[in-house]
Amino acid sequence: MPQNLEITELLRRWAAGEKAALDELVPLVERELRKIARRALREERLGPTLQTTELVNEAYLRLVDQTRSQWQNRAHFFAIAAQIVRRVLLDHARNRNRAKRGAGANHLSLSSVTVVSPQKSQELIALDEALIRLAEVDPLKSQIVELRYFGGLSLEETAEVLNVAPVTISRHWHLAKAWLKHELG
Amino acid sequence: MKSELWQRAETLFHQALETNDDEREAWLQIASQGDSELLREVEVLLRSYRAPDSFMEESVFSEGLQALAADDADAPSGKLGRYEIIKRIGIGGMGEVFLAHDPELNRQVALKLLPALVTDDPQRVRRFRQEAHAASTISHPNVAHIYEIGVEGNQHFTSMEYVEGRTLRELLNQGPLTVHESLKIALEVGRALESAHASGVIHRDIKPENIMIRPDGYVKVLDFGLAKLHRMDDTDDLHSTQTTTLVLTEPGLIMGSPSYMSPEQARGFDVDARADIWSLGVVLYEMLCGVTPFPASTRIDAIAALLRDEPTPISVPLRHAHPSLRKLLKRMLAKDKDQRSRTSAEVVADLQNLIRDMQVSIKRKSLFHGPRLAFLNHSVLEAYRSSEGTIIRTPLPFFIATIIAGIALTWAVKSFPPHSALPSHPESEQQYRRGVEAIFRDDFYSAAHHFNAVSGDLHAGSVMTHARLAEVWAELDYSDQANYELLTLTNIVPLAKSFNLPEVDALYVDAVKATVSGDYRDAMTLYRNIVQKDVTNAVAWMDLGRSYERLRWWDYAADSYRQACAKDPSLASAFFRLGVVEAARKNEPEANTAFERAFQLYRVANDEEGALELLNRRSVFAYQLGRKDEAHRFEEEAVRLGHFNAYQSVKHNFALAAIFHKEVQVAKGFESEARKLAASISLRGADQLLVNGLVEIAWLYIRENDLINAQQYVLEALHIAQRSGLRIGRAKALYARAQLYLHKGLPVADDEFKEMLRIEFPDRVFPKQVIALWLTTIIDVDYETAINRFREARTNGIVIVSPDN
Repeated sequence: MPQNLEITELLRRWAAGEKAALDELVPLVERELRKIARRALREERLGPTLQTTELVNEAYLRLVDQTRSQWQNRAHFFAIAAQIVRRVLLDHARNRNRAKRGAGANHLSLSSVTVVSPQKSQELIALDEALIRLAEVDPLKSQIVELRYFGGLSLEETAEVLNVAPVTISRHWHLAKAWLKHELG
Repeated sequence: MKSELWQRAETLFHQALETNDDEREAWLQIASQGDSELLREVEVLLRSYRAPDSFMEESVFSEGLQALAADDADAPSGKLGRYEIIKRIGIGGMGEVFLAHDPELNRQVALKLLPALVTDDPQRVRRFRQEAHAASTISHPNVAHIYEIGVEGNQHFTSMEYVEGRTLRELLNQGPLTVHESLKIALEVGRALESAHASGVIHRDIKPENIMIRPDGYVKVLDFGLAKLHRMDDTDDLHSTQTTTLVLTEPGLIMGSPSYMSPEQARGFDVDARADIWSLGVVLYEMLCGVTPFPASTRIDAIAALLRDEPTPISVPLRHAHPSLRKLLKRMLAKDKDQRSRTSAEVVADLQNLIRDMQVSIKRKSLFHGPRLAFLNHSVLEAYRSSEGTIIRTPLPFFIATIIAGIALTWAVKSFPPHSALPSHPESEQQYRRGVEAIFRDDFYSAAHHFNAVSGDLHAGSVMTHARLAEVWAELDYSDQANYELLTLTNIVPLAKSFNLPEVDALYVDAVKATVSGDYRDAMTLYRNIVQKDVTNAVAWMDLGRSYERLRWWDYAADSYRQACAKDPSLASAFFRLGVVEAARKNEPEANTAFERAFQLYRVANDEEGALELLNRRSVFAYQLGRKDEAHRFEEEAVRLGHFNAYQSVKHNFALAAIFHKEVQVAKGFESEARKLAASISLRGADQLLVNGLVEIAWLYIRENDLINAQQYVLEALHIAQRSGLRIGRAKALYARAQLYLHKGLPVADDEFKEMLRIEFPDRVFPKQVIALWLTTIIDVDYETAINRFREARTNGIVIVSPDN
């Protein structure tokens, strides 16, 4: 099966509730994201003003058969991208932390030397733990944070992806931020 | 599921946000219905919500992608062999680059890690190692040295000289470079190529990204011997706009950065040293013009254009370029490699010759140096400002034209020693003398007219005429005329070769040359020498006086003019100049005596232009002393006398408009007369007069904080200057506009300012603070101080110094 059909199908199955589909999806999406990220980096498109969703969109358009896709596919795709980014950053942060503690410095991945600063590493690890706690009481808020903070989506995009009104997203976002800030403070 | 507490807290949180600040606390007490845990929870959330910080404002998606990009299944550890990785400094088509420390030799190195994709193929690895090995034997100061080609586990890498600085790409992103900078960089790249080609190494990927400019200006070419690494791994890339480094490794495979790739490379043929010459040609072209010669939006387009089109004609900025420069570019960019410069050594020699030829033209022109009075009613304004007690220096730039005139002179001076530098026919002599007189009263239009009348004579004696003409074009904003002058000089050079230049005349040419290139001190010394050799020469005393004036040594200037008056009591301009200097020194009786004498002499000689200019000056002086009526009388007389002379009339009418700018109707009348007259004369010259007049009036309004009027004038001036390609005019208008913005509290249009500053200091980027500093200093202190402060600030990083420091 061509890759884009495969992904479209997996997205459909996952949206239909088939959890196992996600396990197959993630590596495919991740591979594409890495490709895109490398190219973006080469082209110096990874600046602070980066149109991040543009890049994810690029991946989405490449990987998903548009004629057979539904809006949920797109939403799920973005959700997967945000999840991947979160996991990868956390890996880097943990590596960084290990390096700082002196353990396993020799196995330190080169790239994590620069991508995540030591301070940011601490923050990310704490944030991740708090998000896990938040997800227990309020999974929607946790997901919004994931999409916005890790996935780089705007309020409107998040609203579109989750099919919720932007104003509602905004209320959740503010409360989630307030809670997280207190938790991390 | 959400806990009940959490749900209630959420509801209260949002409701609380909608209540008034002063009622909130009371409201919460009631709304929480005595549930202290809920109350505390909501209070905590509200406090946290209100705390001013940027918590989670910025998404980390970007970092995430970087992490994704950087991850590699078999990424090496924090050490690679003996190298200690410090940080990643780049990632590209050929893998990642790290800054690392080499403890053995205690130096920093750039470590390039070859991607697995490449190293998986043993044949490619072998080829790469061969090439890199050859490259590592190149030892040249302009080549970033390859230290080691190694393998650590499965990881192939090269360690090479770490070059701090910026890539040429980064430099180019700030706009095109000056001709001098471009040639200098091209020369150093050329030398690098020369040395590599001698070792049998072809770079194959010369492009701005591979050329580093160190902070000290030194140029280093990176990545020799690495080009063979690249391979196209995705045919889609042909349609993308990226210019990832891909180079031919196998016949038929097109790779490389299409914009810099030679046609033979694009066709997939074998390449030799001439491919690098082509690429350097493209880089040089881009440095000069700001664009590559075959611009295209995608790879396919770029390659098609490269194979099909002739280079975009060297754009406007290069219209005046040295003909040899254009020839050189043409040779470097010949599509047929057999027509191309054959060796990099040849290119280096050509570049060296060019740089030598153009050396003198490179001296930077200051915006403020130069004859103080040059353009029309600048002096009226000056007087006006002085009477207000604050002097705002108006820029009197003369830069670009000067460069070209400078080239003209260099050529003249370098290659010809004629019998006499002065015109030899009686009529020519007369014209020459009148031209010089006109220069002495800052009437460059007339001067140009007189010199032009004789510059057509292609005899050897016209050297001084051409030199003077170059001086005049430099004062005026006439770069294309200056260019024309340059061509004329090229033509007479061969005719003049058989003559010898007398010593005094040689000094003269040197002095004018120094003046044109802004070396007033040198000019002054040279004129001093001339005067010592020929103390009876009134004209030499005049020139000496003018060089003192440029240095603002008023006393010396006045003395020199007195000498000139004594040597030649019929020299009207000597008295005129003396009057100007005495007026500047506020010596009213002396100034008036000198002016009256000059006026008599002009009338006797029937020199209408001189008389008109004089009346203008007297008007300015009177205005300066607060005698508006007297100022008015002089200008009226000038207008009456000069009604046949459109140029002068434009000037005088603008002057009158300035004098009466507070009486709006009257001023408008003069202004519209000036405009009408300007419209009646030849287009280009009229535009220059107009721009100057409008800018001067704008300055009056700026001083009075009448920003609406000021803006109107500035914008019109800017428009006309742009339309007619008047560079000095544009700079003046931009400068006025910047002042206007400052008065309005608007941010100064950075880009335009940078453009001006680039003309002023062609080699650097200017942070806002420096521009601000520059602006503040030039408003209240004299130019030298401002510039010195500016330079100081630049050397020390950015320090804002207030004008009173």
